[in-house]
Parts: sequence; structure tokens; C-alpha cells
Amino acid sequence: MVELIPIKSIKDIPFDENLFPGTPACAGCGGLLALRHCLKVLGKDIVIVNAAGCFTLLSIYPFTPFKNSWLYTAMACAPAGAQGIRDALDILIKKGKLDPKEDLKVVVLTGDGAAYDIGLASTSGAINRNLDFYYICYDNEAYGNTGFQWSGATPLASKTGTTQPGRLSPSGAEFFKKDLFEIWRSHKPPYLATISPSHPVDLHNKFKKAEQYKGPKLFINLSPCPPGWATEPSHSTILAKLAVDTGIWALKEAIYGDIKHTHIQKKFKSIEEYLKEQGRFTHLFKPQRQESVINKIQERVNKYWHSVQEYTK
Amino acid sequence: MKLLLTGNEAAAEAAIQAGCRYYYGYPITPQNELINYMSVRMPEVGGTFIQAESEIAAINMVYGSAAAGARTMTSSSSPGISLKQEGMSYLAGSELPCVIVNIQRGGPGLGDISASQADYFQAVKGGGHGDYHTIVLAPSSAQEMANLVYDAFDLADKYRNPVLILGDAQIGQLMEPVEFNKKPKKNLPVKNWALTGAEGRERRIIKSFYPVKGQLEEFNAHLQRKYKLIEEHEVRYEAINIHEADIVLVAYGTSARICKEVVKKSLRFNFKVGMIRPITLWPFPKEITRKLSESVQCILTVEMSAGQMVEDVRLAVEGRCPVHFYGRTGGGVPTSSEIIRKIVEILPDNSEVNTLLQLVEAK
Repeated sequence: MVELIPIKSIKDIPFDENLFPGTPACAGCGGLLALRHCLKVLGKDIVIVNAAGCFTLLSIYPFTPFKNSWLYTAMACAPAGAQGIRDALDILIKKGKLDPKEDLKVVVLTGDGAAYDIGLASTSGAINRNLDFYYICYDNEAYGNTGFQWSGATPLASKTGTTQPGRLSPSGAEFFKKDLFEIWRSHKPPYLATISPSHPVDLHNKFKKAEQYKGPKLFINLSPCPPGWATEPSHSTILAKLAVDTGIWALKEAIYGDIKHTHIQKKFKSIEEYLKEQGRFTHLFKPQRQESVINKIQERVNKYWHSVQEYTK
Repeated sequence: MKLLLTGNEAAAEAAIQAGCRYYYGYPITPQNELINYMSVRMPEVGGTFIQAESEIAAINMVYGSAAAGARTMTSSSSPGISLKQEGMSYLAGSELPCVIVNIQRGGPGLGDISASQADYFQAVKGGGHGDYHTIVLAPSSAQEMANLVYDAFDLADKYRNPVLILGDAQIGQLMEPVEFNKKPKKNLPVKNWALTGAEGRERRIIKSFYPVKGQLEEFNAHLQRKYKLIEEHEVRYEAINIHEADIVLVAYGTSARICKEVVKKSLRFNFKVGMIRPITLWPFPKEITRKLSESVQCILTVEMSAGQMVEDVRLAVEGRCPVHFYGRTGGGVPTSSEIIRKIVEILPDNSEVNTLLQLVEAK
């Protein structure tokens, strides 16, 4: 394996864009910002397989912000669609109809609804078959495209279209977010990582590293969502950074199942700073402060980091 | 008291009023108002609201609670309803009552999110696998959505059969005043089949699996007898100006609203336009359609599809009079002017074409 020299500064990120501006995405979409960085590394010789979700609306024929090919599938089965495309490319190469140098990378792109809920079985199948593909999940922690309803990725206490805080459920969403990283990691894929639009250098290096592996290469991006999170569109990157700084979004990677944290904060900010920034958590502070819920979220973050070796040693 | 509600919200509230306490949903446009409303309202009445991990999960949750004898419901829009079909077949095969709402959108494939009536075949011909039918009700206003959802639970219980509400994006999302004034129906059969715990009584079995040769055929014969009963007793339709009509329009849901406008405008014509609006799409109002075919010059079916219900109209007419079709697809909605132009085109005696067209253009 070739020795990789990771980039150190944002100045080292290539200037070339593979995602053009003027998309129908919402202003300040954290998923789109991360995708832009992902495509800088992936290049333009790719096929994106998009499950139904917000980003289905990026490419509305005859308009597209992409340089690459693009296919959308039913919500449950983008990784299955990726299997079909990979097979077709392999057959073309085998028959000598496609020069291996012109081979395309197959990239699945889905939101958290597809990744955490309805498409989980399809992803599990693709990882198990060691399908050579990338998976980028833009996780805005709810079904954004249908009006921000709860999903398996919705964190405890978030207000969504179907978890309205009220007399009967003052905290909003009642469950903790599913740990998709661990679900995927249990399959021991060659490469798996969490990314954030606020850490483009980390993102860049992770994609570069993933390039070396054949098989599933999966990424989960925490994507601030101004309309759903009720935040300022201009604050998306700040918020994504705050998620890392408070420790609620851990930047990490796992190679064949072995975890390494790529960003370790010496001292974490209080989770309250992150929650207070967002309209979807307003009910935790007004009209009455819900101390126990805030503590529960903070404890969960603390517990996580105490279990992390690199942090505790 | 009247409330200003979307068709989707009217469906949700009517279900609650009808005693539905179990609702399982999954987000999809254009039915999101329904699931959002249920998420707030269901806990208020002590019911169960679950946002499932997929449409397949949601319909199978319905399967479970229906087997326990509860009034239960799920809702979705076209692609999601496709995913539910296997579960619906299981429900029909196990003779379990439940209500499924389909707020249709444009297709095929991902299609779009605007109103469409292209799921007619899927709804009335079974949809899933096997010889079965769901009772299909088609509302054409928010008020009727409320009324039909309420009735759907009674029908489901009466016949131990799933009932499908076939709306569309316009019926689901338009806001109209809605009144909830339905009274609980008496004389509904006791649910002496429900799985409620067998202590102290004979065990009960709910199944759609008949591996012993001959048993399944016997069961299918029973189902067909039940469907015949439904066809005999549950047909509903609205007839407008059909007496001495020269031409009769057949349309349901949103296209029926537009056809009503055509009938209104036609009062200025020198020929009579009547209209049949099927409220039950299955069972289809065959009898009235057949009867009319003997007295009218022709029938025009108007749909937001490439022509699906028109097949049932032709089956009822059996060639007694010409059956024409006007449809728009992929989210297109016919206008009254388009329909009148079509009438002019098909009417055997169209000597007054110009006067008619002038009337059409005149606002």
C-alpha cells in the first residue's frame, strides 16, 4: 500500500469543483457543503446512486449540479442499485468494452431516513457481499424532505413533525439516536468514518485513505439543516463545529472494524451550547428548563468519551 | 362545529372519532399532514402512534393490532402503498379489518408529488398477490374524506376486510370546513375472532396459510362469497342530472369536482349533461352505469390517469353505447374547458360547435 501523505491545511484542498452552485437545496444545507468536499476527492468519474430524499431534488432533469452520472432508486435500496451498476461496469470491463482506466466509482448518497431506517437491510447486504462502493449518508437527523419528521437518527429531545413537545411528551423525541456507525462497523467493512462539513481537512484525508480499499467505504456526515433544526443558514458550519467541540459528534474512522478517533478535544464544551443554538431544542429551556433531559444528553456524551481509549489514556 | 382542516387532517380526526386507537405511519408527500396530525392527536386520546421504519413495517403493525381486534389504520402515498401491498394481501387473506389511506401522487416510479388517479387499477383489482379485494372508497372533498374514513371502519368490521381510501394530493391537501357528526353504528358483528388471550375459552386462529390441498380453494370460495355480498350491498355513488341526460360523465375524486363544474356550465347548452360519481370504486356502481347506457347517447369517463376506471365503465356498459375517455396524467389536472371541448368532439350531433366553444371561452 502506498504511503499516504495527509493534507494539513484547508489551503491544500483542491480548487476544482465537481458540484456546481445553484442547486435547489435549502440555504445553509450542511449535507450539501460536505458533499461538495466529498466530490472534490472522489472526482467526476463517478456514478451517484441516490435514494429518495432531499438530494433527489438536486438533479431535476435537464438541470444538474453534478459533472457525474446520477441514478435514483426507491428509498429502501440505493445500495442494491449500486450493486447493479457495479455489476454492469464489471461486465463491460470483462468484455473489453470499457477500458479499466475509465472505470467509474459507484457512490451511494442517501439521507438518514434511508440509511438508518428503511434502507438498512439493503446496506447490510451490500457490505456483506463486499460490494466495491462508497456510501455517503447526509444525516440531518430527520426526514427533511417531507417536512422534518422523526427518523431513527433523530436525537433525544429533538422537536420534529412527529415528535412535537407537548403536555404528554414535554421532551419531544423520546429515544436516543441509533448508532449507525456501530451497526455498520459490526459488518467490519474495509473503511468507515464519520465526517463533518466543519472539518474539511479531516474529511479530505478520510476519503483519500478510503480510496486505497476495495469494498464498502462508508461515511456518515452530520448535516446541520437550517429549516429543520430552526437555525440560521449562515450558522451551519459553526453548528457542525459545535457538535464536534461538545463531543456529541465524534469524528472517527474504523478500518476493518478497528476504531480510531481522528479528532480528540482536550476539553469539551458543554452540550448546552450546542442545544441552545437550535430551535428544535428550544423547549428544553423555555418556558421551563428541563434539567433532567439536558443532563441525560450530557451524561450520554460523557459516557461515550469515557469509553474511548485515546481520550482516557 | 366546523373545523378548517386539510383532507389529510380530516381523515386523521375522523379515524380518531371512529375509535381508531392504533396508527402506524411513515413520511411521504403528499400525506404528511396525516401522520403529523396523528402524532399529536393519538397520544391525547390514549392511543398508540408509531412512526415505523418503513411502509412494510407500518402495514405489518396494522396486521398485528387488527388481529388483536383493534380499530387500526395506516396511510401513505402511491410509492409507499406499493410497498404495503404484500401486507394488504395478508390482511385480506386473514380477513382482518383495517383502514389504509392512499393519497395518490403522480407516477410511475418516483413520479412527482402532485395529484393523480393512476393507482386505480392497483386499488380496485387487488394490488397485491392472490384473489382478493379491498373495499375502495373515493372521497371528493375534505368533508367526504372525514365521512368515508368514519364509515370505512364500520365497513371493515362488518365484512372483516381491509378498506382502502383512495384520495389524491388535492383532496389530501386542500383545506375545507369539516364537521364531525357521525354516530357510532349499531349492530356491528362482535369480534369473536380476535386474539385476546384464550384463557377460559376455545382458542382462535387467524391465518392466511392453507398448506393442505383443497383447503385454500375452499377458503377462496368463502372469500368470493363475501365479495359478492359486498358487491350486492355496498355500492355507493352520487348521480347528478342523469334524468333524460344526453351524455353522462363518470368521474371520481378531484376529477369529479371538475366534472361538476362542467355539469353546471352545461345548463346553458341545448343538450343535457349528467354525471355519475362513484363513491365506492370497488364495488363499482355497475348497475346504474349499465342502466344509463341504455338511455344516453354516450358516456365520457374523466380521470387523472391514462384510462383506468374507463375499463370498468366499459365492462358495465357492455357495448350498449359509446364510452369515451378524457384523461390527464403525471400530475396534470383536467380543466372544465378541456372536458367541454371533448364533449363537443364526441357528441354525435355537434352542429352547434361554435356556440358551445364560445360558451367555453366565456368566463
